[in-house]
Amino acid sequence: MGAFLSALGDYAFLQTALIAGLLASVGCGVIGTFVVIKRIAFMAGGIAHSVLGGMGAALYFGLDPFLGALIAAILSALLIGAVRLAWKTQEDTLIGALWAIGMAVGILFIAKTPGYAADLMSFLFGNILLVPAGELWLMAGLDLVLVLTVALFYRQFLAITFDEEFARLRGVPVAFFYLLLLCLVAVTVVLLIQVVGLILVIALLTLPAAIASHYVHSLGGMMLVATLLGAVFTSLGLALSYGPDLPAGPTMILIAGGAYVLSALTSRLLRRRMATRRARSV
Amino acid sequence: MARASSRVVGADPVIRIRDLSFSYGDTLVLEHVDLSIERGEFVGLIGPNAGGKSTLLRLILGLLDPQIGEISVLGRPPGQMSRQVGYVPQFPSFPRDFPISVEQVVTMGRLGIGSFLGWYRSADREIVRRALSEVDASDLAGRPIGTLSGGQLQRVLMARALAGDPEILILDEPTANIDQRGETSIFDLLARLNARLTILVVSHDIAFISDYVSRVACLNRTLKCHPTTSVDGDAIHQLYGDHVRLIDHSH
Repeated sequence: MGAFLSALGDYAFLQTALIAGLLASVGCGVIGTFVVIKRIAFMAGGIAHSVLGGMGAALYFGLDPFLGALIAAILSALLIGAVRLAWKTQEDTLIGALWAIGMAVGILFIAKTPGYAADLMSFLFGNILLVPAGELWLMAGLDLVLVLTVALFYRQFLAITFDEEFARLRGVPVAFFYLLLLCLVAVTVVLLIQVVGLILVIALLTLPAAIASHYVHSLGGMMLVATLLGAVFTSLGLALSYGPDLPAGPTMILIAGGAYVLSALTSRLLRRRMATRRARSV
Repeated sequence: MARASSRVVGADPVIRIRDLSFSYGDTLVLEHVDLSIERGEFVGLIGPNAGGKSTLLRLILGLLDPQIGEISVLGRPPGQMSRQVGYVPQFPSFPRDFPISVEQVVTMGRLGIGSFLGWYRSADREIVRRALSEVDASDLAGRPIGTLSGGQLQRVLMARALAGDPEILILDEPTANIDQRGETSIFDLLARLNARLTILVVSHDIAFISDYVSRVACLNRTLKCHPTTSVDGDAIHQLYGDHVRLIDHSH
């Protein structure tokens, strides 16, 4: 840890990595909260994995993989969302299919891309140390889009997350906001892929918000706490992985996972103890 | 069709249904239904399970589109007027562990009023406070929605409907999850609200609602209306078959 702090002053790539983690945690707090309470984690997982198709294609055609990821994520979000809206309950089969098809397409493209294909591992598991400094601006821009959209349409997002039928009766364009929410999930997935890769994304998208839900009982509060937790997990993961030269992404995920299990157990225990104390007090 | 003709009411019916039929796939749920509800009426809609009550409500709310026949609500197609209708569902369609307070739930009744962007205004909050006090639930404002009992939740959902300042209030089995005492107080509340609102309430408890409503509509695929005084053994028999009899239980 001490070695990390002193290296942080010396190496620009570490500073970039730290900032990338902090920028990603905004997405995981704000949108992760919606993913957890609307129970669309599987959908988010499908979007994340289908992204490999876009990255592989971008690589093959010599474009920025980040751009390919963004396009693929938004396309699969719209596809999954449209199917759910049109056919009500059949989306899980489609998500599973898109999950696998996206990865298959990506791997075919990467296999046929001439030259050294070492990027596959960093697509799958992320490599926060390789985030180019210029990409930070792009990440900050995506964060701004996320936060502004949620702030402007907070009432509508809350309404469609809480009770779609009632939202429709109040004249909220439910289909539009549902698809918009899924697009925001797609943007967040792409943000987080920079940090932990597309396989581990689902953990950063759900665990901080899930931990927050153990203690906070408002949507806004959950967003704030989940963002802070995300910042702690990514920074701590980066710091702890630096000394022993571990991959940073998996270290972050293990910290987040450990915190989640611990929190689930203690919050259960606390609730039970509180209930017993209340029952005894009468 | 019988009408509560003695009432002095507005010229146009607030809900008018003409020759409405509806089926899910092969199953015909509503057949040639005609119903007209005048401003200020308090109509009870009764009928057996799967008799089409909820389907009729969903059609009136514009959540379903009629296949044959016409519905107009306040003179317009129902989907356009859903903001003038307060709806209290039988089963809340949200997860009970959703991180939200009673006050925030009721505030959602203000959606679609005022600006599209941004947050609720202080005027909205004032209306929410009034709605909560109207249903005697002011003390619940800060509670998480998941901690309420069935009867408390029912009142909160009524406050949410009232917060939208509706002209018509539609309730689906408002007393299904609460005891007799709660039932009486909910219907007393509805009777009070009837002074300014047209009310349509679905209920399974015929004898009970006939103490309160001005007219009963009996729905079992087809619809028949009765003034409340004439809900007798014959009508019940027609609707439910042999095994249900009318038990007189005047209070």
